[in-house]
Amino acid sequence: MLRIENLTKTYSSGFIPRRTTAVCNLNLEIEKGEVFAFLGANGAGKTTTIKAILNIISPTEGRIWIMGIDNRQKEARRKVGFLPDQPYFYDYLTAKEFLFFTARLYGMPKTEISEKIYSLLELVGLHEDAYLHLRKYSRGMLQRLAFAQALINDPELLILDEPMTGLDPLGRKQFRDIILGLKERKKTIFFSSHILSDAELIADRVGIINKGHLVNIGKLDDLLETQIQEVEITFQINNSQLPELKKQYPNLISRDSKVLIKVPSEQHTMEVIRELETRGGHLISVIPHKRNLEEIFVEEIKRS
Amino acid sequence: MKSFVIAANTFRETIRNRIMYNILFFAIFVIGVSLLVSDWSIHQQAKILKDFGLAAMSIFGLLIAIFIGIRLIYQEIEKRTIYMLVTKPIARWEIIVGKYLGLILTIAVNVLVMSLCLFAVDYLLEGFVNWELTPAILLIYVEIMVVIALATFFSTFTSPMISALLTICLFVVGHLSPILKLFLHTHTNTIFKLILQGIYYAVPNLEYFNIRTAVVESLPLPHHFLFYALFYGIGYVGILLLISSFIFRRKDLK
Repeated sequence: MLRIENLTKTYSSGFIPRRTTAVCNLNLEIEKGEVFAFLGANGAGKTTTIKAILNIISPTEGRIWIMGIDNRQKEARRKVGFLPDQPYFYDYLTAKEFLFFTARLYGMPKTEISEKIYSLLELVGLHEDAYLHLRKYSRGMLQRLAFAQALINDPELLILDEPMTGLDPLGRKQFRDIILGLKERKKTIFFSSHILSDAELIADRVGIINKGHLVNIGKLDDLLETQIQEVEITFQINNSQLPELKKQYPNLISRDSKVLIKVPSEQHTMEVIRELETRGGHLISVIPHKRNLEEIFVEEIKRS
Repeated sequence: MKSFVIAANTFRETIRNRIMYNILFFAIFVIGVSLLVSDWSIHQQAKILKDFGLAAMSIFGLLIAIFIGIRLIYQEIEKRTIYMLVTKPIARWEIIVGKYLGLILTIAVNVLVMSLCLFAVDYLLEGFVNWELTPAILLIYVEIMVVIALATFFSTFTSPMISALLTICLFVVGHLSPILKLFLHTHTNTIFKLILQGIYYAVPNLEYFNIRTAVVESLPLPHHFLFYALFYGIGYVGILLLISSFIFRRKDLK
């Protein structure tokens, strides 16, 4: 669906030109129906990559294909929806006029547009503000409208640059639900985000970029699965066993007749369970604690 | 063609930016001139009205052309609304052509209303509609089209301030074309002649579109003059838009 090959982008700035590399030798392939989260700190190269994909900027080196078409050709963008990191709109238009304009840019026939506009405005919760000029919209409302325009052409590939920025918790939940709905409809979604908890909930695969270099890429489940930190085992056990157990497991926490033991790895879990069962205990729960995406992200950034 | 969609939006933008207010000033100016010369004979009054009216129409139109034209592309980049265009299935040249068409449509409406205003005041004075003014108005409009194309060209690669300066410079040089030609005939220095020749052919001959005196004085125009002037103006616009599109094609829109 999307293929990036050896993408490098350098900028020259200043009176005596100094070259800065925003993205360096990036290779990525996004499959159809995949939700890919592109993570990175500010200035890591996320937006530069997105701009290169959409032909807003030209790569210094490398090539990009969208649905097998060179991204420099306008046909490549026919089935692409884009949500920019900041909503940049014509503020003299109303929401309805703006969506009509966007639909016409995709070449949609006038007869189909009205219905589509109303369903999209309803989807993003702006149907009551359809005739309001955009200069009167709040940041959150503009972000919702930006999402609506990204969906106007029923895209196969959605590119979302920081989609959750500027939204209140309700808006974030709404956006998350829309993205999950699109995921169910097998749409391909490429999004950059700072909000890692959202990425964790939505993405199938994650790529982490730092200083223009892709430092980690993989399926979200794999990334999180390989990173189990500890396992919490909860047992119900006779209080008479507690002194012995406390000697054996100094980090044991007990309340009433329940004990909680934290085991540093999966390997020791079965040993502990067997030990407690021989002491007449009843297993209540075993909870593995994985590192969340945020912890993995911070570690990767520090390492690179 | 997607250019028409962009043109319609540009037209809406310029109209909503209230640029049509200039028409009000034009109307006041034309009526003011007719009142100022009310003691003169009807023939003289009409002549002065037409002379001043056409000159004012040209100035008002050109002022709008320069000050909107220089911001035409630059503003889209500065406000990043250009992202909404380039990320759609549109070629970059379609954006340039669309923005240009939108602005010349606005100016067309503007010139049309100013013309109606001039015709109306002239009718009140002379008692008939003076259609002879039409070729002069048409060429004022073609001149404005050329100036907008110049401003659009500069706005693809430089700031509005520099675009304004360059457009005004070329506008002045464009009106001095006959003098340049005269210099070409009188100077013998080869290098100087080559430079002058370069400027003469590169800069649009805007004085070619000025037939105001001829129309007001009812002087005859050369055969097919209007056709050649239109061809020259539209050809020049075409070349400028082609170069603008070429520059804009690979421009990084940071």
